[in-house]
Amino acid sequence: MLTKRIIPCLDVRAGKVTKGIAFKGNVDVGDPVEMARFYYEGGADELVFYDITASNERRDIMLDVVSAVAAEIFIPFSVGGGLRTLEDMRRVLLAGAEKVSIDSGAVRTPQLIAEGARAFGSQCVVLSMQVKRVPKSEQIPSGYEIYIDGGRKPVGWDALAWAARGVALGAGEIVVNSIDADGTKAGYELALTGAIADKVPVPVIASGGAGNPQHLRDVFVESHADAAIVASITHYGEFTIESIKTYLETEGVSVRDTW
Amino acid sequence: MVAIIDYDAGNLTSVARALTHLNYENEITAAPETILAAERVIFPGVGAAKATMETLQQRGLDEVLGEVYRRGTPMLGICIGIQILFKHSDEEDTECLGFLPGHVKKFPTRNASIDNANAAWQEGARGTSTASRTPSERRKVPQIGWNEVHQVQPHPIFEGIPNPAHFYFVNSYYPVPETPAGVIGKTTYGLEFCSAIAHENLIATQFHLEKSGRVGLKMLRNFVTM
Repeated sequence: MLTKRIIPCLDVRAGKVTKGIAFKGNVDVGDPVEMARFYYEGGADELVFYDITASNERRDIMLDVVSAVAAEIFIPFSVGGGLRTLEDMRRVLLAGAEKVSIDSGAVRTPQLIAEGARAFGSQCVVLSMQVKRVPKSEQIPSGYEIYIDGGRKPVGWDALAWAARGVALGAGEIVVNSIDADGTKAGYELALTGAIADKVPVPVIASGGAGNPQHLRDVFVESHADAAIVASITHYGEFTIESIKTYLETEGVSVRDTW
Repeated sequence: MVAIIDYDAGNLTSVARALTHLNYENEITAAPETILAAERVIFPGVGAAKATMETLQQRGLDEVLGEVYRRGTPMLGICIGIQILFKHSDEEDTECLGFLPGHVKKFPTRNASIDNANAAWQEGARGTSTASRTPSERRKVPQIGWNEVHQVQPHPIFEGIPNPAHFYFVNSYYPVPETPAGVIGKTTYGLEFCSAIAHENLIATQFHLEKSGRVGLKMLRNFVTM
């Protein structure tokens, strides 16, 4: 049986790992290659790196990080943050990432999804979306709206409609990042994640809000997420990937054996 | 030296990195003389059957791979590399290398429960619809993630590998060999399929050894040293 994936997320700024609390007030916690190795050896199923470097000229540092990680880590990993063009995507993939994650860039240029899928295959193109709860309206019938630019700017698009359009354009996986849940440690946004997981025919990755292993169980079992992103609950040693998996197994959730 | 067949597809460098990490000399190449001189040949990658076969034919590599097979040089196919070994793929109705009897089929796509859930959602009746379904009813295509490989026959490539063990898969299509004789690994994704096959000097896996952590690296090492 296909297992549920646990995916630690490493925010990287200028070559260093940070952890965003609700996208603000980042604190340096370490070297990305060291942390990647720590998670690889600890049984993570996949990794995601978000490059939150502000300036363009420092983006090459991220490519060095990607190459260094790819030389040592033999599980899939994706890289996102600031990817705006097909060439940006190509450079990250050539440096050794398995997948690219596009977010605000895809909202600005939806065709980027289609171009990426055509050039590299859908399995390489992850559509990441920042979503915020809003009053239901004609424009936003689900009550979930897409935001861009670090959760600061509303787009006026319905999250469910954007997810479906993203898949139609060629996205191979969808990351649902709840702005409301992010940093709260109160659990993933179950209704939103479930609505999207049940709507699209590609894997859905829940992001934002994990505070304990039960939150992962809930998003896998209740919301049918295929994978879940974790950050602070494992970054600071509160839980390990192994302890989370042990708990999930007792709850009947299928996880990968770490051998 | 291990030759990694260069056919302009994704994932070539991942296999090279894994081999380099294991300290095995390797080269990504489309040069027939280099491929024929290699002690091992790997055909890796993620890609579409038709585009892959067209590139191979344009570069004359279909002939070279035939020669590798006839000479008995150990050859490992990964992902698209298992699929093209068969006669035919349903993906864009593609004639493949035909070293192995059988064909390649697509996983059944979304089942009715997802469509029902969508309809229920649109009617505003979600909640009950999802609670009544178990995740196992859902079938997303492609399969992306870690799945179990059950060793159904002993083979040196599995030396030191737990049975079953989880490996990383990314596939919409799966091989259907005509005979079970060479099937050494099986996996279930809605249906049971052949995820590893061995025949004479050919070994092939539907899963990505180069992205499957320690078990994957161990199998790559087994391939190079066996």
